[in-house]
Amino acid sequence: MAHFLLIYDRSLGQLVRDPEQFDSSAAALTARFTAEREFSGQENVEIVAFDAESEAALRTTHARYFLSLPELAARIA
Amino acid sequence: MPLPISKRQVELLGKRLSAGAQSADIETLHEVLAAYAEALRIARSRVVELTDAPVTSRVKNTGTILEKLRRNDGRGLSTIQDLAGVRVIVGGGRIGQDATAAALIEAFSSAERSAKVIDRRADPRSGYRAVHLVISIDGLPVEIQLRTDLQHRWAELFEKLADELGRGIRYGQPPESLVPIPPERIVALSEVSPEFGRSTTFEELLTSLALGLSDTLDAFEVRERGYQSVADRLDDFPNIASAVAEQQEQLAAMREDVHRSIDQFGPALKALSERRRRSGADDDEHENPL
Repeated sequence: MAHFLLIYDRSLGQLVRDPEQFDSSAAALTARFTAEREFSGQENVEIVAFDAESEAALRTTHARYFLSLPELAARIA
Repeated sequence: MPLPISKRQVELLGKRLSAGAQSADIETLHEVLAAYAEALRIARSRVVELTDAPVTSRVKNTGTILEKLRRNDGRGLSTIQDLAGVRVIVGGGRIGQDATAAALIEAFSSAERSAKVIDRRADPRSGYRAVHLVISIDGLPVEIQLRTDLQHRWAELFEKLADELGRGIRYGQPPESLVPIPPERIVALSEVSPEFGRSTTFEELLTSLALGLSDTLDAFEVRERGYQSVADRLDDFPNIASAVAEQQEQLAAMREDVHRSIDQFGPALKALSERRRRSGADDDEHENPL
């Protein structure tokens, strides 16, 4: 299993940084809390720690963080 | 891991956080969330044993928790069901979704209480459809979202749209940053669909299109389930081959409906994305994309 931290800016519709990977979910959660302090007051910034089988699995289950609106629509067709 | 404070204290924490998050309260919230993370780890490991589908888990992000508390006047932190969440994208359409839900309900039946089932297919919220199970691990709720591939793809699209149009559209509120549709266009839109004709802004139209797409995908999935249940019984009833062929034709026609919906939707989404890209350079630019 892999552990990730995503920092996403809703107003830009894209990740602020590349996904960070950690050795444990506890480490990812700690990194999340640290990032929340860094981005404190920026309500458009979403900071989430995930456990997933792989980055590919995360990109499947949480595609919104990685793809644009037209790309997400094209996946349905 | 037990909660570091009592449920009553969690509730009071929620009220303080909604009134204005102080750093000490955020630290306490983080300790509470760490307890949920442990419950989530246990739940996820059981779910993974029962499915080959992609499974991802997360503890709800702090910003969304604060958003939810503000919507509820600070009430309900101790009862939020999705502080810990597992997402599973099941294969096999509705049939696969039902089978996975049944397997998970049984697997978690030996926990402290049986799983609570929330069927958002029968009772969708702003177009969102899925099956949610709320289970209990060491007294803490963990929500398991079971989405079919189509339900998931739509949900991701709508969530992204909410990033652009305002997150309130996920709760039935009107979109933000409105660009008016010229009256002559509204007349033309009403000829396509009465629902579209009620849109007076580009953002309302996009939201309507997205909600319409959700209904189209749902109808497709229901038809697909019907087809599959008949096709699976071909050996029992050899004479129903013609019925299966008919279902196949209807499915193909519905696929065309889906493609038509996307064809309507795609250019508008591209226009929205383009507008956003340009608005970085000039916030006052509001070219009508229609």
